Amino acid sequence: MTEDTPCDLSEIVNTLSQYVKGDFLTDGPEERQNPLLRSKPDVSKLKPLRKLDRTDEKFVAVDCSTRTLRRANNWGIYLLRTTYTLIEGRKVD
Amino acid sequence: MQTLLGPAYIRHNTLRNLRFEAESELALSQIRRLASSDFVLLDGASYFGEKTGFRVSLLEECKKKNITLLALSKQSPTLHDECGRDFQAAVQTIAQYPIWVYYPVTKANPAKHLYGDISIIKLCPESPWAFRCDIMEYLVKRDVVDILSPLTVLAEDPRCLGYPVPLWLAHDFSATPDAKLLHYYEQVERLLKGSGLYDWLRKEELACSFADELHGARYPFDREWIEYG
Repeated sequence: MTEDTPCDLSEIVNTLSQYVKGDFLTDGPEERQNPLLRSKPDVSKLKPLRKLDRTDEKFVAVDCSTRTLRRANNWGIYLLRTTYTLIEGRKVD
Repeated sequence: MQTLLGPAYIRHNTLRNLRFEAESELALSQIRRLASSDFVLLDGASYFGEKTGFRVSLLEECKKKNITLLALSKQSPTLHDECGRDFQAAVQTIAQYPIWVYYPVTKANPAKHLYGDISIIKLCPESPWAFRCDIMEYLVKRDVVDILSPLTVLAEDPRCLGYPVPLWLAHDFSATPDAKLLHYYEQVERLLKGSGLYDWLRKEELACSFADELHGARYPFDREWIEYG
C-alpha cells in the first residue's frame, strides 16, 4: 500500500554543498493560482443522490503526504510518502 | 527525501508538483487492477498537465478503460458566490435534500487545464460536510446521480463521516510516525555533520526558526503547511 520516495542521501549533500558554496540557481515553477470561479447558487441545479447499501465497483484512492525534516529560509529537506487504498466490498488493500 | 533550494513559495510549488507526479504514477500502476466503471479517487481539483496538475496520461488511461475518475477537494476557496462568499457554504444553505449533488458549478475547461465539471456533493445525511467533486468530462454523458451515488456506500465511516473512506484511508496510511520522522531528522543531521556542512546550515535553520520556538515547535515537522485549494 505504501511507496516511500526513494531516498538518496548523497543527493542531500550534493545539493546543499552547492548551496553553501553559493553555486545554485533557484528557477522553480511559477506561482500558479487556480482561477477564482464566481457564480450565483441556483436551486434548480440541486438533485438528490440515491443512498445505496452496497456497490460492486472497486475504488482506488491515492494520497501523498509531505513532511518537513529540516528547513531554512532558502532550502528545505522533505519526506514524501505516497500510498494507495483499494476497496472492494468490505476488503481493504 | 527531496532537497529543494529557493524561497518558500518556490519550494511549496515544487512539492505540489512532486505530489501530483507521485500520486499520478501510483494511480496509473493500480489501474491494471480495475475494470470498466470502477473508481479512481484523487485528492484535489481536476487540473491536469505538466506543472499544473496530475499527469494527463492518468486521465487518458482512465478514459480508455471507462474508469470513473473523480477528484475530490476537502475545501475549495476558489469557488465564490455572486457576493464573493464561500460558494460551498452558500449551496449548503439552500439544499433541501439529505444527500445531494449540485451540478454543475462550472463545466470543464481544458484550455485552462480544468478537465472535470465541478460539482458539490453531500454524501451522508448525518454529516455536516459537503465537498467539491470534479467529474471528468468524458463521464458526464451519463447521469451524474448514477455516477456519484455509489460514493454514498463509502461515506458512513465514523472516522470521516460524509467523506469517501478510501481517500481517508490513503491519507491515513501516508502519515509517517513521529518516531520515524525523528529518526530521519537525526540521520540527516549526522550526514551533514560528516560532510562538513552542518555548522553553516544550522545557523541558517536558527535564523528562521525562532517563531517556531515561541510556539513550542521543537522540530520543523511539528509545524506543517496545510495545503489550501
